[in-house]
Amino acid sequence: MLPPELSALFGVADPAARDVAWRRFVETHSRLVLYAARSIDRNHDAAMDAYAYVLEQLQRDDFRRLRAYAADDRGRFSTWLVLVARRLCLDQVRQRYGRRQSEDEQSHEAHETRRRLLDHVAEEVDVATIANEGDRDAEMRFRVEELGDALAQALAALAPADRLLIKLRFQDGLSVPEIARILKAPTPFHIYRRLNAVLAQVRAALARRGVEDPEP
Amino acid sequence: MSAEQTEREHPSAGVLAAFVDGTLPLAERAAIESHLADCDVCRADVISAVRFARPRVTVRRWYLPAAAAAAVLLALAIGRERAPMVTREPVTREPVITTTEAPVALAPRGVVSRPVRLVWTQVAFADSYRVTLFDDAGRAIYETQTRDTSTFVPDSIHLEPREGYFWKMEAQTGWNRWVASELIEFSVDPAGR
Repeated sequence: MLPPELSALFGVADPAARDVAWRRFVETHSRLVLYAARSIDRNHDAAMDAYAYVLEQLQRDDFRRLRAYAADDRGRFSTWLVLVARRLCLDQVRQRYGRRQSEDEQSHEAHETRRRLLDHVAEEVDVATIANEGDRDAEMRFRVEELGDALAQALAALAPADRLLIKLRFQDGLSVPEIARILKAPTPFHIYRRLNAVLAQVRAALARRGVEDPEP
Repeated sequence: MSAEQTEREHPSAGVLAAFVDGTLPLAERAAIESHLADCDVCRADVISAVRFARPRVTVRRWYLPAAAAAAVLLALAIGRERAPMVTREPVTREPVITTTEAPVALAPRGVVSRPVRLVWTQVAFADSYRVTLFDDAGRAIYETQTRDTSTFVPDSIHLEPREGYFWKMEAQTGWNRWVASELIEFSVDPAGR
Protein backbone atom coordinates (compact mmCIF):
# COMPACT_ATOMS: atom_id res chain seq x y z
CA MET A 1 0.00 0.00 0.00
CA LEU A 2 1.44 3.35 -1.05
CA PRO A 3 1.58 6.32 1.31
CA PRO A 4 -1.14 8.85 0.38
CA GLU A 5 1.23 11.57 -0.84
CA LEU A 6 2.67 9.07 -3.32
CA SER A 7 -0.69 7.76 -4.49
CA ALA A 8 -1.78 11.34 -5.06
CA LEU A 9 1.30 11.96 -7.16
CA PHE A 10 0.81 8.93 -9.39
CA GLY A 11 -2.92 9.17 -9.63
CA VAL A 12 -3.28 12.52 -11.40
CA ALA A 13 -2.82 13.30 -15.07
CA ASP A 14 -3.61 17.02 -14.97
CA PRO A 15 -0.31 18.97 -14.80
CA ALA A 16 -1.68 21.57 -12.38
CA ALA A 17 -3.00 18.91 -10.00
CA ARG A 18 0.28 17.07 -10.31
CA ASP A 19 2.20 20.22 -9.33
CA VAL A 20 0.03 20.50 -6.24
CA ALA A 21 0.66 16.84 -5.39
CA TRP A 22 4.39 17.30 -5.90
CA ARG A 23 4.45 20.37 -3.62
CA ARG A 24 2.67 18.32 -1.00
CA PHE A 25 5.18 15.52 -1.40
CA VAL A 26 8.08 17.98 -1.00
CA GLU A 27 6.48 19.54 2.09
CA THR A 28 6.01 16.11 3.63
CA HIS A 29 9.50 14.83 2.94
CA SER A 30 11.74 17.92 2.94
CA ARG A 31 13.08 17.15 6.41
CA LEU A 32 13.98 13.62 5.35
CA VAL A 33 15.75 14.69 2.14
CA LEU A 34 17.67 17.39 4.02
CA TYR A 35 18.66 14.85 6.64
CA ALA A 36 20.01 12.56 3.89
CA ALA A 37 21.86 15.44 2.21
CA ARG A 38 23.45 16.53 5.50
CA SER A 39 24.48 12.98 6.27
CA ILE A 40 26.70 13.13 3.18
CA ASP A 41 28.01 16.69 3.61
CA ARG A 42 27.46 18.88 6.65
CA ASN A 43 28.41 22.03 4.74
CA HIS A 44 25.20 24.06 4.41
CA ASP A 45 25.63 25.06 0.75
CA ALA A 46 26.67 21.57 -0.31
CA ALA A 47 23.72 20.05 1.55
CA MET A 48 21.27 22.48 -0.09
CA ASP A 49 22.75 21.68 -3.52
CA ALA A 50 22.32 17.98 -2.82
CA TYR A 51 18.77 18.56 -1.57
CA ALA A 52 17.83 20.31 -4.83
CA TYR A 53 19.55 17.57 -6.84
CA VAL A 54 17.65 14.81 -5.05
CA LEU A 55 14.28 16.50 -5.63
CA GLU A 56 15.13 17.03 -9.29
CA GLN A 57 16.08 13.37 -9.69
CA LEU A 58 12.97 12.14 -7.90
CA GLN A 59 10.78 14.22 -10.18
CA ARG A 60 12.60 13.16 -13.34
CA ASP A 61 11.10 10.83 -15.98
CA ASP A 62 7.63 10.98 -14.53
CA PHE A 63 8.81 10.08 -10.99
CA ARG A 64 10.58 6.94 -12.24
CA ARG A 65 12.52 6.47 -8.98
CA LEU A 66 9.50 6.97 -6.78
CA ARG A 67 7.58 4.47 -8.88
CA ALA A 68 10.32 1.94 -8.10
CA TYR A 69 9.13 1.98 -4.48
CA ALA A 70 5.66 0.93 -5.61
CA ALA A 71 7.26 -2.16 -7.15
CA ASP A 72 9.23 -3.06 -4.01
CA ASP A 73 7.56 -1.70 -0.88
CA ARG A 74 8.78 -4.24 1.67
CA GLY A 75 10.16 -1.52 3.93
CA ARG A 76 8.63 1.73 5.13
CA PHE A 77 8.57 4.51 2.53
CA SER A 78 10.54 6.90 4.77
CA THR A 79 13.31 4.31 5.25
CA TRP A 80 13.43 3.65 1.53
CA LEU A 81 13.52 7.36 0.73
CA VAL A 82 16.45 8.02 3.11
CA LEU A 83 18.43 5.30 1.34
CA VAL A 84 17.56 6.51 -2.16
CA ALA A 85 18.24 10.16 -1.26
CA ARG A 86 21.65 9.25 0.20
CA ARG A 87 22.57 7.31 -2.93
CA LEU A 88 21.52 10.21 -5.13
CA CYS A 89 23.60 12.60 -3.01
CA LEU A 90 26.61 10.31 -3.40
CA ASP A 91 25.98 10.21 -7.16
CA GLN A 92 26.03 13.98 -7.22
CA VAL A 93 29.32 14.09 -5.30
CA ARG A 94 30.84 11.56 -7.72
CA GLN A 95 29.62 13.45 -10.77
CA ARG A 96 31.07 16.64 -9.44
CA TYR A 97 34.32 15.49 -7.90
CA GLY A 98 34.98 12.10 -9.45
CA ARG A 99 34.89 8.66 -7.93
CA ARG A 100 37.43 7.59 -5.34
CA GLN A 101 39.66 4.96 -6.90
CA SER A 102 40.61 3.39 -3.58
CA GLU A 103 40.02 3.97 0.08
CA ASP A 104 43.66 4.45 1.01
CA GLU A 105 44.61 7.66 2.73
CA GLN A 106 46.65 8.93 -0.20
CA SER A 107 43.87 8.81 -2.76
CA HIS A 108 41.43 10.08 -0.14
CA GLU A 109 43.67 13.07 0.49
CA ALA A 110 44.08 13.62 -3.24
CA HIS A 111 40.33 13.48 -3.62
CA GLU A 112 39.80 15.93 -0.80
CA THR A 113 42.43 18.23 -2.24
CA ARG A 114 40.76 18.14 -5.65
CA ARG A 115 37.48 18.82 -3.98
CA ARG A 116 38.85 21.81 -2.10
CA LEU A 117 40.28 23.22 -5.29
CA LEU A 118 37.04 22.73 -7.19
CA ASP A 119 35.04 24.36 -4.50
CA HIS A 120 37.38 27.36 -4.41
CA VAL A 121 37.19 27.40 -0.67
CA ALA A 122 37.65 30.92 0.52
CA GLU A 123 39.99 30.20 3.36
CA GLU A 124 43.61 29.33 2.75
CA VAL A 125 44.75 25.77 3.38
CA ASP A 126 46.41 25.83 6.78
CA VAL A 127 50.08 25.05 6.30
CA ALA A 128 50.21 23.56 9.78
CA THR A 129 47.82 20.81 8.72
CA ILE A 130 50.14 19.58 6.00
CA ALA A 131 51.38 16.25 7.22
CA ASN A 132 54.37 16.03 9.50
CA GLU A 133 54.81 12.36 8.72
CA GLY A 134 58.51 12.83 8.06
CA ASP A 135 59.08 13.34 11.78
CA ARG A 136 57.75 9.94 12.72
CA ASP A 137 60.15 7.32 13.68
CA ALA A 138 60.43 4.78 10.85
CA GLU A 139 60.61 1.79 13.16
CA MET A 140 57.53 2.87 15.08
CA ARG A 141 55.67 3.32 11.81
CA PHE A 142 56.66 -0.18 10.75
CA ARG A 143 55.41 -1.64 14.04
CA VAL A 144 52.15 0.24 13.78
CA GLU A 145 51.68 -1.15 10.28
CA GLU A 146 52.54 -4.64 11.48
CA LEU A 147 50.01 -4.38 14.27
CA GLY A 148 47.40 -3.03 11.85
CA ASP A 149 48.04 -5.94 9.48
CA ALA A 150 47.68 -8.48 12.28
CA LEU A 151 44.40 -6.91 13.33
CA ALA A 152 43.11 -6.74 9.75
CA GLN A 153 43.88 -10.45 9.29
CA ALA A 154 42.20 -11.36 12.56
CA LEU A 155 39.09 -9.41 11.54
CA ALA A 156 39.08 -10.92 8.05
CA ALA A 157 39.04 -14.40 9.59
CA LEU A 158 35.85 -13.69 11.52
CA ALA A 159 32.42 -14.80 10.33
CA PRO A 160 30.75 -11.94 8.38
CA ALA A 161 28.11 -11.40 11.07
CA ASP A 162 30.81 -11.07 13.74
CA ARG A 163 32.89 -8.77 11.55
CA LEU A 164 29.82 -6.60 11.05
CA LEU A 165 29.36 -6.39 14.81
CA ILE A 166 32.97 -5.26 15.33
CA LYS A 167 32.76 -2.71 12.52
CA LEU A 168 29.52 -1.22 13.79
CA ARG A 169 30.98 -0.88 17.27
CA PHE A 170 34.56 0.22 16.62
CA GLN A 171 34.72 1.58 13.08
CA ASP A 172 31.34 3.29 12.98
CA GLY A 173 31.29 4.11 16.70
CA LEU A 174 27.68 3.01 17.27
CA SER A 175 26.31 2.54 20.76
CA VAL A 176 25.30 -0.97 21.77
CA PRO A 177 21.55 -0.12 21.80
CA GLU A 178 21.90 1.25 18.26
CA ILE A 179 23.62 -1.96 17.14
CA ALA A 180 20.88 -3.99 18.79
CA ARG A 181 18.32 -2.06 16.75
CA ILE A 182 20.17 -2.63 13.48
CA LEU A 183 20.78 -6.33 14.10
CA LYS A 184 17.33 -6.79 15.61
CA ALA A 185 18.78 -8.31 18.78
CA PRO A 186 16.17 -8.76 21.51
CA THR A 187 18.12 -6.60 23.99
CA PRO A 188 21.39 -4.63 24.07
CA PHE A 189 22.62 -7.15 26.61
CA HIS A 190 22.72 -9.76 23.85
CA ILE A 191 25.02 -7.51 21.85
CA TYR A 192 27.36 -7.13 24.84
CA ARG A 193 27.57 -10.88 25.12
CA ARG A 194 28.24 -11.35 21.42
CA LEU A 195 30.85 -8.57 21.47
CA ASN A 196 32.67 -10.20 24.36
CA ALA A 197 32.73 -13.51 22.54
CA VAL A 198 33.97 -11.97 19.29
CA LEU A 199 36.61 -9.85 21.05
CA ALA A 200 37.87 -12.96 22.79
CA GLN A 201 38.16 -14.60 19.37
CA VAL A 202 40.12 -11.64 17.97
CA ARG A 203 42.32 -11.55 21.08
CA ALA A 204 43.15 -15.23 20.65
CA ALA A 205 43.93 -14.75 16.95
CA LEU A 206 46.28 -11.86 17.78
CA ALA A 207 47.95 -13.86 20.54
CA ARG A 208 48.64 -16.64 18.06
CA ARG A 209 50.47 -14.05 15.96
CA GLY A 210 52.47 -12.96 18.97
CA VAL A 211 50.52 -9.76 19.63
CA GLU A 212 49.74 -9.43 23.34
CA ASP A 213 49.94 -5.70 23.78
CA PRO A 214 48.03 -2.89 22.02
CA GLU A 215 51.15 -0.67 22.18
CA PRO A 216 53.16 -0.88 18.95
CA MET B 1 28.85 5.95 -11.64
CA SER B 2 25.12 6.34 -11.87
CA ALA B 3 22.48 5.48 -9.30
CA GLU B 4 21.48 2.51 -11.47
CA GLN B 5 25.02 1.11 -11.38
CA THR B 6 25.18 1.65 -7.64
CA GLU B 7 22.02 -0.31 -7.20
CA ARG B 8 23.35 -3.20 -9.30
CA GLU B 9 26.49 -3.55 -7.20
CA HIS B 10 24.82 -3.14 -3.82
CA PRO B 11 21.50 -4.41 -2.47
CA SER B 12 18.61 -2.32 -3.75
CA ALA B 13 17.17 0.45 -1.58
CA GLY B 14 14.05 -1.70 -1.22
CA VAL B 15 16.00 -4.61 0.22
CA LEU B 16 18.02 -2.40 2.58
CA ALA B 17 14.83 -0.63 3.71
CA ALA B 18 13.28 -4.02 4.49
CA PHE B 19 16.45 -4.94 6.40
CA VAL B 20 16.28 -1.74 8.46
CA ASP B 21 12.55 -2.14 9.14
CA GLY B 22 12.91 -5.81 10.06
CA THR B 23 10.61 -7.08 7.33
CA LEU B 24 13.27 -9.00 5.42
CA PRO B 25 13.07 -12.81 5.72
CA LEU B 26 15.73 -14.35 7.96
CA ALA B 27 17.69 -15.98 5.14
CA GLU B 28 17.93 -12.71 3.23
CA ARG B 29 18.93 -10.88 6.42
CA ALA B 30 21.98 -13.11 6.75
CA ALA B 31 23.05 -12.30 3.18
CA ILE B 32 22.66 -8.57 3.82
CA GLU B 33 24.61 -8.77 7.09
CA SER B 34 27.36 -10.50 5.15
CA HIS B 35 27.39 -7.70 2.59
CA LEU B 36 27.32 -4.99 5.26
CA ALA B 37 30.32 -6.51 7.01
CA ASP B 38 32.50 -5.53 4.06
CA CYS B 39 30.65 -2.63 2.49
CA ASP B 40 31.23 0.71 4.23
CA VAL B 41 28.86 2.50 1.84
CA CYS B 42 25.83 0.32 2.54
CA ARG B 43 26.63 0.24 6.26
CA ALA B 44 26.62 4.03 6.32
CA ASP B 45 23.28 3.97 4.46
CA VAL B 46 21.77 1.58 6.99
CA ILE B 47 23.07 3.60 9.96
CA SER B 48 21.63 6.77 8.47
CA ALA B 49 18.24 5.16 7.89
CA VAL B 50 18.14 3.72 11.41
CA ARG B 51 19.10 7.06 12.92
CA PHE B 52 16.46 8.88 10.90
CA ALA B 53 13.85 6.51 12.25
CA ARG B 54 15.14 7.30 15.77
CA PRO B 55 16.05 10.99 15.52
CA ARG B 56 16.71 11.39 19.24
CA VAL B 57 19.58 8.98 19.23
CA THR B 58 22.79 10.95 19.75
CA VAL B 59 24.65 11.39 16.51
CA ARG B 60 28.15 10.13 17.03
CA ARG B 61 31.22 11.22 15.13
CA TRP B 62 32.71 9.01 12.49
CA TYR B 63 36.10 7.55 13.24
CA LEU B 64 38.99 7.08 10.90
CA PRO B 65 39.99 3.46 10.18
CA ALA B 66 43.20 3.97 12.21
CA ALA B 67 41.16 5.17 15.16
CA ALA B 68 38.87 2.18 14.73
CA ALA B 69 41.83 -0.18 14.85
CA ALA B 70 43.09 1.58 17.98
CA ALA B 71 39.67 1.27 19.58
CA VAL B 72 39.50 -2.46 18.90
CA LEU B 73 43.00 -2.93 20.32
CA LEU B 74 42.11 -0.88 23.36
CA ALA B 75 38.98 -2.96 23.95
CA LEU B 76 41.06 -6.10 23.62
CA ALA B 77 43.62 -4.73 26.07
CA ILE B 78 41.09 -3.59 28.63
CA GLY B 79 39.31 -6.87 28.47
CA ARG B 80 35.66 -7.57 28.36
CA GLU B 81 33.22 -5.14 26.87
CA ARG B 82 31.26 -4.24 29.96
CA ALA B 83 27.53 -3.83 29.97
CA PRO B 84 26.43 -0.74 31.88
CA MET B 85 25.26 -1.18 35.46
CA VAL B 86 21.70 -0.89 34.23
CA THR B 87 21.29 -3.52 31.56
CA ARG B 88 17.92 -2.28 30.49
CA GLU B 89 17.94 -0.22 27.27
CA PRO B 90 18.18 3.48 28.09
CA VAL B 91 15.00 5.36 27.49
CA THR B 92 15.62 7.75 24.61
CA ARG B 93 12.05 8.69 23.87
CA GLU B 94 8.63 8.53 25.37
CA PRO B 95 6.81 5.26 24.71
CA VAL B 96 4.45 5.36 21.78
CA ILE B 97 0.91 6.04 22.86
CA THR B 98 -1.38 3.55 21.24
CA THR B 99 -4.87 2.33 21.85
CA THR B 100 -3.99 -1.12 20.56
CA GLU B 101 -3.48 -3.68 23.27
CA ALA B 102 -0.15 -5.47 23.10
CA PRO B 103 -0.25 -9.23 22.61
CA VAL B 104 0.78 -11.42 25.52
CA ALA B 105 3.12 -14.33 24.95
CA LEU B 106 1.50 -17.19 26.87
CA ALA B 107 3.78 -20.16 26.24
CA PRO B 108 6.50 -21.33 26.34
CA ARG B 109 7.88 -19.72 29.48
CA GLY B 110 10.53 -21.25 31.73
CA VAL B 111 11.47 -24.86 31.09
CA VAL B 112 9.32 -26.68 28.52
CA SER B 113 9.19 -30.01 26.73
CA ARG B 114 9.38 -30.69 23.03
CA PRO B 115 7.70 -30.06 20.67
CA VAL B 116 7.77 -26.38 21.48
CA ARG B 117 4.44 -24.73 20.80
CA LEU B 118 4.33 -20.92 20.85
CA VAL B 119 1.01 -19.49 22.01
CA TRP B 120 -0.09 -15.90 22.42
CA THR B 121 -3.23 -13.86 22.96
CA GLN B 122 -5.35 -12.57 20.12
CA VAL B 123 -5.11 -8.87 19.28
CA ALA B 124 -8.18 -7.03 18.03
CA PHE B 125 -7.96 -6.06 14.34
CA ALA B 126 -4.66 -7.91 13.88
CA ASP B 127 -4.59 -9.66 10.53
CA SER B 128 -1.19 -11.28 10.91
CA TYR B 129 1.28 -12.28 13.64
CA ARG B 130 5.04 -12.46 13.28
CA VAL B 131 6.95 -14.71 15.65
CA THR B 132 10.71 -14.47 16.13
CA LEU B 133 12.85 -16.89 18.08
CA PHE B 134 16.31 -15.84 19.30
CA ASP B 135 19.17 -17.89 20.63
CA ASP B 136 21.11 -17.05 23.77
CA ALA B 137 23.40 -14.69 21.87
CA GLY B 138 20.45 -12.75 20.51
CA ARG B 139 20.64 -14.09 16.98
CA ALA B 140 17.28 -14.61 15.31
CA ILE B 141 17.13 -18.33 14.51
CA TYR B 142 13.55 -18.68 13.38
CA GLU B 143 10.88 -16.36 12.13
CA THR B 144 7.45 -17.06 10.80
CA GLN B 145 4.26 -15.22 10.04
CA THR B 146 0.80 -16.62 10.67
CA ARG B 147 -2.83 -15.63 11.04
CA ASP B 148 -3.28 -18.06 13.93
CA THR B 149 -2.44 -17.41 17.60
CA SER B 150 -0.11 -20.36 17.95
CA THR B 151 2.58 -22.13 16.01
CA PHE B 152 5.09 -24.93 16.52
CA VAL B 153 8.84 -24.48 16.27
CA PRO B 154 9.72 -26.84 13.40
CA ASP B 155 12.02 -29.82 14.01
CA SER B 156 14.55 -28.28 11.61
CA ILE B 157 15.28 -25.66 14.30
CA HIS B 158 17.50 -27.48 16.74
CA LEU B 159 16.96 -26.29 20.31
CA GLU B 160 19.73 -27.35 22.68
CA PRO B 161 18.51 -28.58 26.06
CA ARG B 162 19.28 -26.17 28.94
CA GLU B 163 20.27 -23.37 26.54
CA GLY B 164 18.32 -20.15 26.99
CA TYR B 165 16.09 -19.03 24.12
CA PHE B 166 13.96 -15.93 23.74
CA TRP B 167 10.87 -15.31 21.71
CA LYS B 168 8.52 -12.50 20.98
CA MET B 169 5.63 -11.98 18.68
CA GLU B 170 4.32 -8.94 16.87
CA ALA B 171 0.77 -8.38 15.72
CA GLN B 172 0.16 -6.42 12.54
CA THR B 173 -2.62 -3.98 13.25
CA GLY B 174 -2.38 -1.87 10.10
CA TRP B 175 -0.14 -1.00 7.22
CA ASN B 176 3.40 -1.09 8.62
CA ARG B 177 1.99 -1.00 12.14
CA TRP B 178 3.09 -3.69 14.51
CA VAL B 179 2.56 -4.08 18.21
CA ALA B 180 4.97 -6.40 20.01
CA SER B 181 4.79 -8.64 23.03
CA GLU B 182 7.45 -8.67 25.71
CA LEU B 183 10.49 -10.83 25.16
CA ILE B 184 10.06 -14.18 26.90
CA GLU B 185 12.82 -16.57 27.90
CA PHE B 186 12.50 -20.34 27.88
CA SER B 187 14.65 -23.44 27.70
CA VAL B 188 14.01 -27.02 26.66
CA ASP B 189 13.82 -29.71 29.31
CA PRO B 190 16.56 -32.28 28.62
CA ALA B 191 14.41 -35.03 30.16
CA GLY B 192 11.34 -34.13 28.12
CA ARG B 193 10.92 -35.58 24.69
